[in-house]
Amino acid sequence: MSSLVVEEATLSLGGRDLFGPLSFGVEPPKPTTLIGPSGVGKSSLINWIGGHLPPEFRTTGRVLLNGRRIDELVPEKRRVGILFQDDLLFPHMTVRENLGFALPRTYRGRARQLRIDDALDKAGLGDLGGRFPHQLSGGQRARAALLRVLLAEPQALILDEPFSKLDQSLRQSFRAAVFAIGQERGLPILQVSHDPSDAEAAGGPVISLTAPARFPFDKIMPLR
Amino acid sequence: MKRWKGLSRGLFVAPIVIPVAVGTVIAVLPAFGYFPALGGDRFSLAPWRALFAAPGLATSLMTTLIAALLASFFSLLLAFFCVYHADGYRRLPILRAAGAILATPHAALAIGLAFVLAPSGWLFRLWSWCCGPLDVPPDWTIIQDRNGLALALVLVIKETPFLILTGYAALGRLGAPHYLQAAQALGYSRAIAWAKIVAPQLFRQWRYPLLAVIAYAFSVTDMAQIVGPNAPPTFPLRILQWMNDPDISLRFTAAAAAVLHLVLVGGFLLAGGVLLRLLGQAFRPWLSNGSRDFPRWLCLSANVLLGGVSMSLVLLAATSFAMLILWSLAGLWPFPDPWPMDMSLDHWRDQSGMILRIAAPAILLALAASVLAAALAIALLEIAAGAGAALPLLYVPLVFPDIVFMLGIAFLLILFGIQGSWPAILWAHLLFVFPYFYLSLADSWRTLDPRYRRSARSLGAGRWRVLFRITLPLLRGPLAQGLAIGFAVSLSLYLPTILAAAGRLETLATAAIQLSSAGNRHVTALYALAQCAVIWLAFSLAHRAGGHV
Amino acid sequence: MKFARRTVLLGTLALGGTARMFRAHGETRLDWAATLKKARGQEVFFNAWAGDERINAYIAWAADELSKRHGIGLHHVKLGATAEAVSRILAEKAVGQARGSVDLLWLNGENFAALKGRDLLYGPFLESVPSARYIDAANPTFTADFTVPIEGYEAPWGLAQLVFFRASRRVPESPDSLAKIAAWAAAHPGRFTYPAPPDFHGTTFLKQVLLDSYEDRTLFSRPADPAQFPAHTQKLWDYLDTLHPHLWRQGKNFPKDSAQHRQLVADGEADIYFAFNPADASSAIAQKLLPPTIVPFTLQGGTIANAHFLAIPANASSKEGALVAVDFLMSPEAQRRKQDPRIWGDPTILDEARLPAAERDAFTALPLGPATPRAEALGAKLAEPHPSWVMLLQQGWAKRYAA
Repeated sequence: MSSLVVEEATLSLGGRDLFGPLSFGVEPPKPTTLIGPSGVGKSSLINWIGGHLPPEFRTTGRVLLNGRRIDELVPEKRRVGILFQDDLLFPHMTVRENLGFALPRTYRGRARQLRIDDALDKAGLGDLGGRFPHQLSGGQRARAALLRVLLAEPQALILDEPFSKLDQSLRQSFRAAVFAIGQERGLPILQVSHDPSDAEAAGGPVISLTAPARFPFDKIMPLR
Repeated sequence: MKRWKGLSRGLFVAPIVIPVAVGTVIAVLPAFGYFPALGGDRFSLAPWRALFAAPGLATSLMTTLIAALLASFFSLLLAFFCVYHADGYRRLPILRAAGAILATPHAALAIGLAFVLAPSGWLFRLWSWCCGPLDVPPDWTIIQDRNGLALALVLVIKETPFLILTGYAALGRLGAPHYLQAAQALGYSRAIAWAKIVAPQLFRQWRYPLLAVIAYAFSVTDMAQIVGPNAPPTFPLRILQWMNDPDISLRFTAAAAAVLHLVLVGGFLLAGGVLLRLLGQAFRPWLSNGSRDFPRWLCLSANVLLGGVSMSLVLLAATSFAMLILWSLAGLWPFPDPWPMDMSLDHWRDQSGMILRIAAPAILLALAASVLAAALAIALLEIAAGAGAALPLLYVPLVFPDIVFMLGIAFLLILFGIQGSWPAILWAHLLFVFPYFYLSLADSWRTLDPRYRRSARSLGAGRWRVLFRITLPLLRGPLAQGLAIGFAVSLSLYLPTILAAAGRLETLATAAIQLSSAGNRHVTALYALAQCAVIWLAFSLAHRAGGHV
Repeated sequence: MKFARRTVLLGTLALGGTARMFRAHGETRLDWAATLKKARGQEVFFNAWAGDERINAYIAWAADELSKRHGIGLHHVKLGATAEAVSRILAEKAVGQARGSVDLLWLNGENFAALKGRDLLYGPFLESVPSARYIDAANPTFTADFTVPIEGYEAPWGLAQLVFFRASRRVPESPDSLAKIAAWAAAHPGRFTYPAPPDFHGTTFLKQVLLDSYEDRTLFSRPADPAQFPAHTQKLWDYLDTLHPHLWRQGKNFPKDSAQHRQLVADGEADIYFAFNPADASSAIAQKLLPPTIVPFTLQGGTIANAHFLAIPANASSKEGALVAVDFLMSPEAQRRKQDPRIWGDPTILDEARLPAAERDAFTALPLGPATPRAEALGAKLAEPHPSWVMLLQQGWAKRYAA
């Protein structure tokens, strides 16, 4: 069974511990939700998992993906797909090209085109492939971004509050779609949110990053 | 509303565009034989026949073309490489080096470099000192070569920093870091993600700086005079020669040559644009074909090669600069001595009074011109939403050989009887300062998130309050950079100063150029250093005021 | 001397008639006292090449004196090339600007020809200037400039003659003829060169070779005949064809002007250079631009010589002030200072025989400078060819060596 495991993670910046040590595992089918107030270090944690943590941070602990240690790899070798708060579709490429960018080079020629067409059709974006991101609606962009992440064939999925900027109805349907696809593919999903409804919808374990988790020695260290 | 915008745009652009247009026409007329003060009162094609009969014309054009093409290509290549690294952890050293080189006057850099590289130059002296004395310098052509390679080299050193700084500023507007993260999460290394995601977008942002660089490479005279060939010289230099020839009838030839130059530069820019577009088309499938790796050897060799080249160029520039300092202190310094025989502050002592006397008005003028350019650019952007279709006209002063074009302007000034007056001088500087300023501000202005302004308006702030409390503070960086660049441009203008001031205003630039014709390296170096000092001061102030420059 | 692009002196040609011509142009003498009175308080914009800080300092001194003595504000409008001022005068003429921006202009040769030929100069004025009595009006140098009769439209200011300079440690003996120079160059490949025409000094070298190849030079006092030009210049091209393979950079590159030429000698890249100011090397030695081992020499058959002048544009705004400035700049005191090698080193135009004894002694007492030839040693002064030769020479040269 595929899994994303975080072991004994601690993060510190400028000599101050953000949290930790923290250990948890993420396994399909239900997404795990990392929840906590703003500024608690959620983003730093997933940046660490994704490999985007600025060098000023100091870390200990390990990240294992399907038993493979990934926290020492360069980001592009980790095979962790991330859906960001913004869709981050590349503005100079059409939707098709954005998807092509993600699709591994192992698909070539006709197979490659078919794979992209298929993905577009399934997501209901069939005739929008030639458009540029700024010509799409918010919902279409969110779906295109999801497609792009999935086409890169990740082994785990991290959701960095990708629903927070969508309106209520869109948010629910998009969230459901993401979770469904994750389950269908058996991907471990770790989502970050400060909205309890996201955790509810996921129905999986909830890790609450709160002040005690951040500062286990809060009696000695003053709170920020 | 739309009409008002058009009208106000016309109003703001007019002081630049109308004189440029009229000046150009006045300058072009002699190309077709019309210049009554010289006895040309009938249109004819004689100037063109004279031009095409000029010996060595093809060689001159070829040299100019080779130097300009090589310089543009390599500047762009190195700028890409450096911006890529500036985007990472080597931001400060790269930006500092670029800023320092940008602030060094063109001619000063060329003189220093010529002294480093020439067979009698510093490298050979060093060689002679440590590896066995040379009696006389080898008779090798290193600078002033026929193909213009030395000229291309100096151009690359001088123009790459301009591209780096404009490119780095554009990077911030692109939101590059987030896109790079997204691409890395999709399995791309930073380098290739940069090549596929950032580079194509950067290219679009670089259009106008690149245009300015190419046009400059085609039109450069001061550096060509020092490191370019002279049998025959580059094409812009020949225009200058014809223009300054005591045989006044050659001014007809000069005018025809200037028109040819304009057509060539325009044509080349157009062709270059088409070429880039085709190149973009050709590369487009590669962007989305899913390939995630350059061959490793290519990455590595590009890093080593371009890194090595960049470092050597910076080293070369630094050495050239050090040579200027040495020359300003040196007494006699014959070949093959690696150091001057004696050093003193004599030259500084002799010249400091003069330098201080002419620096003050030059600085005032440069300040006034850059502030005025800023005001005009802000008004244009705020009220008329940019220059729009008039934009290409703003760039004419940067593309047209200034000697011919400024003569038309001088005509206008004389016609209105304001030649030599402060407004005339200020305005002549504005013609050159404004395009650079607009160049460095317009894109940032346009990419500024409009929601800041909107939300400020809905909080009840009036238009002017929004401008001064929201928009301008948010654009502090580009504004400060634009002011510094405008200041530097104004401070180094020679011909516009001479013509508009009827030669009556002496600035650091005019003194430097006039004295350089006497071939006194001590004094030339000194004035170049003084000019550098003032410009550096401006850049560091801008740096302080605007975050990064 | 490097201040104008091309210059000319009329040496031996057309002598007979010129002395007469000087008187024949019908100048009405000005009332000098009235001129002085009107000049007081005027601002005079003196447009002069500003490439040499020593010259600039000299002009600044003159400005101080004029202010003290006559209440005139003399402003040095610094030029990179005399053509800048010519352009301005032309433009003013084109739009009919009566109060021009140039009051006084330092020029000679072609610039004079261009301005005088288009009636852009004020004059004749020379006879009205009191200091003019010290010059030898019959001297052909002062009757025609570039074969153009001066007729009182410009006032002589200084003299110049082509002088060669050698680095004595590498060239122990003066190659004092063009043939010897060619032989020396062949024996020392890569050590001789000359500025690329159309540079003024480079063109002068061509003229020098051309004149040197003829015994009878009357041909050159007439306009060049394009049809005969190839034949007339055959010896010149032969000479250059032999010389060029031995030149610095094999004759594929040249210094751009006299200043760079001198720089090459200073840098040890070449061993011989030439200049129009006989005091050029002395001045450069004083400024630590050349080592003190430089030695001057001239050519056996003589070298091209010229003078440089002061002129007042027809539309000058302060003509009286300009006249008073001319008078001062021609005065024995100002001329002596100008000739002093410690100040500028530009030979005087004054005729010593006409000076008061005290002044004459003061001139004689002037030092010569470490690398300046004595006036007697300058040799014969060769006259410039008619201006029409210049363009053909430059084109011919460019076709052969710079295409």
